[in-house]
Amino acid sequence: MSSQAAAVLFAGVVAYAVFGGADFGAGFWDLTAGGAERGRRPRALIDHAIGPVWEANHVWLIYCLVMAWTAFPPAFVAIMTTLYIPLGLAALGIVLRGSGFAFRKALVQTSERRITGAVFASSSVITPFFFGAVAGGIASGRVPRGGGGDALESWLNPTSLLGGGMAVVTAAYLAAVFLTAEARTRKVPDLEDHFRRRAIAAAVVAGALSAAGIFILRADAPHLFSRRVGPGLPLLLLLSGASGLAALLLLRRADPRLLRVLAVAAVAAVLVGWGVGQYPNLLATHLSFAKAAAPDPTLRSVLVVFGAAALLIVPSLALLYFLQQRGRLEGG
Amino acid sequence: MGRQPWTIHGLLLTRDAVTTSGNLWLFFAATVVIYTVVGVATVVVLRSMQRRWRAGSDEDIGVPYGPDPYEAMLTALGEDKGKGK
Repeated sequence: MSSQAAAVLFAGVVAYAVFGGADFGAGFWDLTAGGAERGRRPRALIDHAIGPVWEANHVWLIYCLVMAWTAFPPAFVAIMTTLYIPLGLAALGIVLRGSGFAFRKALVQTSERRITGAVFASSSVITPFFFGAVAGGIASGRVPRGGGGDALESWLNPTSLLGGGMAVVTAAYLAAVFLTAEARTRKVPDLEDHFRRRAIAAAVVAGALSAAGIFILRADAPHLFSRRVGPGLPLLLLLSGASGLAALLLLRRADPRLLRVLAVAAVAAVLVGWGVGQYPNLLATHLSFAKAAAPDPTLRSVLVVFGAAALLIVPSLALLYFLQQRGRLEGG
Repeated sequence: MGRQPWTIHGLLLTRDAVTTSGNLWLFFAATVVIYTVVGVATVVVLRSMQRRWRAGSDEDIGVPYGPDPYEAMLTALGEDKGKGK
């Protein structure tokens, strides 16, 4: 039963990375949009693209936390007592991001908007970075089974920096593809162009970083390679590269919905690859899902609750995303 | 649940439940500071909204969680649509 619980937990991780990632990535493009005058129109599009769903995506984070501490308590303790600094900084980023975004909307003076906007945008970059660093610390085996690992080295290491960098870049890529699609739906050709160029740039950086990542992981986390790698992992990475490339090639013509699906597939496949590469272990090589799992009655109730939540929440989130993509959430 | 000195009554003492990671006071202080700043900022923003509303100039800006000023965005986006084409 621990495998089912692991799958359910991991589904939440992927959903947060994809939906939250697109959200954070929009903040990245807000940060780099340029001065108040030049960046005004891209920022307006970003504001209106994420406005209706902003922060809804953090339900996935809460979901992951609850699943982790209910279904795998020892692992949760180990991760929290080791990686509390990057996790705390990620939480700080989430708080500042939310306040910055809300305050900016309510303020009119350029100077005030500049400060709150800078808070929103910079925390959109630091939050995914620290989550990526946490993932790197877990994947490279720096979280001891009993917790209390090195508070700094556990996230200041090559794999964590790679994870953090990848998180920021893939979020930026996702957001740029989504915003390109958004600009096309709204028929604003120059902004479509603006974000298409950025999507391509982000994809190039992501590709280069993943290529470098292979060497970084070989040197820093060799256990990820020493294990028997089934056909699943290479296939998933191939799928990721293929859908990423297809999204770029079709960026100019394809249906916006298809573009979004391709970009999501590219990012999700990498994450699923991480999960497959690590399975059946939760912490690198030294703690399996089965060993970390809560007793069966707990797992059973978690799975039942998950089923009920899925029935209630998935349709409403799907409706939210659907209405947002259709541009039906603006007043007027 | 929750009655001191228990975290879970009869099972887990608060003293045993506390994190082992250290830096507890630092994190607590940081949390207090952040929420104070956000709280003060909330009051400042609300007061500035109130001032603008009284002055009757609040029509063109958005309200958090309120309906979007869709027209405003269309103007912002549409202004130099022609140039892009």
